[in-house]
Formats: sequence, structure tokens, C-alpha cells
Amino acid sequence: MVETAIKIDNVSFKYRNADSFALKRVTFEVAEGEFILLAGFSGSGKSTLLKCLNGLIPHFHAGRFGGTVEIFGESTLESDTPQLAKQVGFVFQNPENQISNLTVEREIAFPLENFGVPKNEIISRVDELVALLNMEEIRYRSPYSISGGEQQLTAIAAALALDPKILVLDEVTAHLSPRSAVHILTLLNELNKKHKKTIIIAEHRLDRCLNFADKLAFLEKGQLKVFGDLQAVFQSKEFPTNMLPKIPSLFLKLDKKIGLLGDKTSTIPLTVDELVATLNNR
Amino acid sequence: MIEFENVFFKYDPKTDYVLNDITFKIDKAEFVAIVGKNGVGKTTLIKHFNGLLKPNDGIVRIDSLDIVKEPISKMASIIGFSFQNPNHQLFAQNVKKELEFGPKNLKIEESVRDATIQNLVDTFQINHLLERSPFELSGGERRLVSIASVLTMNQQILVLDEPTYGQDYRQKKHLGLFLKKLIEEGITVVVVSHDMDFILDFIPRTIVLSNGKIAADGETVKVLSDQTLLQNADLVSPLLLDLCYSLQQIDDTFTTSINEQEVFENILSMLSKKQKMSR
Repeated sequence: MVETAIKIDNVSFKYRNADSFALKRVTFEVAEGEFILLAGFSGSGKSTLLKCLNGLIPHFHAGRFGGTVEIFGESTLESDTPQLAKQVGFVFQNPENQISNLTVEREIAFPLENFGVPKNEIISRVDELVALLNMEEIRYRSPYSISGGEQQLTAIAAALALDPKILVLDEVTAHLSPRSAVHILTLLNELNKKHKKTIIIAEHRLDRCLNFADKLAFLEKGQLKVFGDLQAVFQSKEFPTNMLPKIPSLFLKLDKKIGLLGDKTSTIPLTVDELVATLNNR
Repeated sequence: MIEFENVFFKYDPKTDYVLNDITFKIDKAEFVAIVGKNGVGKTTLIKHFNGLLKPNDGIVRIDSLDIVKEPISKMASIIGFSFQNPNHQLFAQNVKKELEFGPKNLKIEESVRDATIQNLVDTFQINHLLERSPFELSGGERRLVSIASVLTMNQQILVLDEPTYGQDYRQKKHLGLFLKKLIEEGITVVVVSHDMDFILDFIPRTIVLSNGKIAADGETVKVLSDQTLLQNADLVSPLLLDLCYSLQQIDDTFTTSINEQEVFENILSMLSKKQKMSR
């Protein structure tokens, strides 16, 4: 049986000084090995929700917290943040907020050093990650002299250092060039499929994730409006049509005009190839 | 007007030129996008606009002023700059004070200032954020406030580095329409961006930087349709274009377009043609 990786039960949170709750009674579960997209307009509570997963909320950010978050059965209220860091790797929106060391290699080693891992183990773990993420060329460079995409890669490597089962990413492709973004997303897909990492990612570029994401959670004003597999979400009335990614959106417009669904197919094409195949079969 | 004449620039004498013989001209009231892969020198280029960086060789003129000879303060009154990372820019106690800071510094009359700010607050729908600390806002909201705080100063040229970063499609649309309005009022806007969809929707001219040179400069639709060019500049072609090329594989008469409505119409006519043929 597949284990439950993340269980979010009735979670609410209000930042100190804020007038309203950033999260309102959010409930959903993520099974181990799933790839979850988190969507929502900005300010809808995406980052806040993600920060609940590694205990930054409520341990670090002051405010009113209600409900429970369990990571592999352990409540985040009962674990401390270092303990959670071993389970949940976290990559922030802006790599500059995360980077603090003089070389890429040191940056990756940093979490391991913090946990007092023996030096030879640190070295072999860094070797492993550098090879896994193809970072040989930048290994000895300063993280401040590399490109944004490479910085984000460094941040992901550091997040993977402790070999967490869950990887949480907050709009990590936002200020990358489209090609670097595709590179990072492809890499995440690989980490998910090959290395069985459970991944939850807040992302505005939904288009580029549809061929590998399992489920989508849509937040609006702190409430979880829809959660489920992509087909169910895109057919749901709760999901705003103007937030639909390009290909499904185009297909649904065509469907409205000439009726495509239910004819020979009951699924919405998510990628260019799927749409072309659907149109070709008609 | 922005003029670059054979501009060369490198940070370190031992390395290659980041800008290698760059020449272009942007007229008053033009809306221009600058694209290129991470690390290609887009930010380096725009830092020459207000003299934050000065060319090793060549000339940069803004409104006929040579930036090497003018003090940065003079340039600042002509050019508004919004940086990539809002955290480098925001500092005030609350959003309202953040928005007032620029115009106060430039000693803009209070009534003009308040009207401008009110207009921005309405356009970007950030009324509910005014009393909050900029540091309590979400990433996207923070970016929006940092852009608004530049727009308060009514400068003639605006340079926005990755303005859609962290923005959802609604905010992008508000921003795009607002910038278009500024263009109509005679303001020149230069946007550095990776957001191909935003550029396609709003910005008529695109300059592609690649290996320190200008790889293309022209009408956005033409530039972003050129797959070879995009590949060489390490950019990804817009999804709609990929779709069109794939559809051409099954119907070689399919006309490519990067306008969503046009693609929609083209698919409809392709399907109806197919239907007639099968009858």
C-alpha cells in the first residue's frame, strides 16, 4: 500500500498583524510518490501553505495556527524544524534568499555540515548530487557568479542534500528563462519518477507541467477550491476558465463550439501531442 | 529616445565582452521587449540606460544626453527603473509610504502625486494592501508594489526588469494594459522578460540578445515565430507555435499563427475541411 506522505487536516493560519486568514480550513492528502501542482492567484496562500509543510509555519512565522499537518504520520507541531528538514526539502521563490556560501559545492554541503555528517560522507553525497544534477561545470564557482537557472539548480541540490522524501518548491521557475525553466521542470519529473520523491510545487507556468503532474490543488483566498487529478480539475466548475493552461483551454473552447468531448474521447488533451492526436482522430 | 552606438562592455578585462558591438535605437513612445537566456547580459544592457554602468567603448544617449557625461541623478529624473528583485527596492513601513517616497523625493506637487498614486492603486487593485508592510506581502504582490512605486514618478522612460515575475494572469493583464496606456501618453517602456506570452500579448517590438550581440530586432510576432533564431538564442518557442507546427504535420495547408483566436479559427476550418473530405 502507498503511504500517505502529507496529510493536511483543517489547516488555518493568520499572520500576526494580518486582518484575515491566509489559509482557511484547508484539507487534503498527498500519497508518497505523487507530483502535485499548487495553483492560485498571487496572494491566495500558496507560499503560506507550503511553509506549513516544513514547519516554518507555525514554528518560525508568528500567527494563529489551527488544524494539523502530518508528514509521514508525524504532526509538524510535535516535530521541530531540523527534524522536518530531513523529511521535507524546501526550495524558495528566490534562490538569492537561500544562498549563503562561497562556492556551489559548499552550498550543497551546508545542510549536511549543519547536521554534523562526517566529512567523507559529505564529500560523497556532494559528488552524488553534482553528478545527478549535471553540475560539474559550476561545482567550484561562486553561487553569486552563476546564472539564475544555475542558482536555482544549486538550491535544489542543497534541498536534496539530506535526501528528503518530500520536495517542496515555491515558484522556482518564475524568473528563469523558458529553456532553464523547462530544464528544471524536466529534472523534477525525473526526481519524481526515477527517485520516487514526492513533489509539491507552486507554479504559474502550468502549461509545462501537464505531461507529468498527477494532481492539482487550486487555492483561492486561502481556501482549497478544487483538488484532484488534472482531468477532474479542468472539468470542474470551481476552476476558473481563465486560469486554464493553453492546450486544455483551446480544446474546451473547440468543444464548446463543435462538441469534441464524449464523441470519441472523454479526456481533455493536456499537451500539444495529445491535442493533435485527438484532432487527427476525429 | 534611447540610442546605442557600437557599445562594448565587459566586467572583467580578462573575460569576453558581455555587450559586443551593440547598436539600436528606441523611439519615444515605443514599447520594446528585450529577451535572451539567463546570463546573456540583458540586465547589463539596461543598466547602461541610466549610467549605472558605462560603456568601455561606444556611445549611449538618452534623450540626446550622453550618459557618460551626465550625473546619475540627472538620468534618474528621466528614467524610472524597476529591478528584478523587489526586495532590493522596497523598504518603507507600509505600502502607501512606499508609493509616496519617489514623488516626495522628486518634489512632485502633492495633488499630482496623490492623483497618480490613486490611479495606480485602482489600476493594480492594491487598495487593500496600502496599510500593510511591503515585507508581509506575497511574492507577487510585492513585485506589483515595487513596479507601482516606480510608476509614481511620471518619468518619460520606464525600464522594467522581469515585471511579470510572480504575477498571475489577471495582474499581468492589468499591467500590460496599463503600460499600453502609458505608451499612448508618450512614455517609452522597455521590458526585460522571459515571459513570452506576456510579450506576445502586449509588446509589439522584441530585441533578442545572444552571445553579446543583437540576434534579432523587429516585430514581436515575426521574431518569436522564428524557431531557428529562438533555438540559437536558447529560448523556447511559444506553445501555440509548437501546436501549429504539429498540426502542419497532419495538414500541410494549416496556417501558423501565435494569436490564440486565429489558431482557434484555423483549427475549426481544418476540421470542417476534413469532414467534407471524408464525406
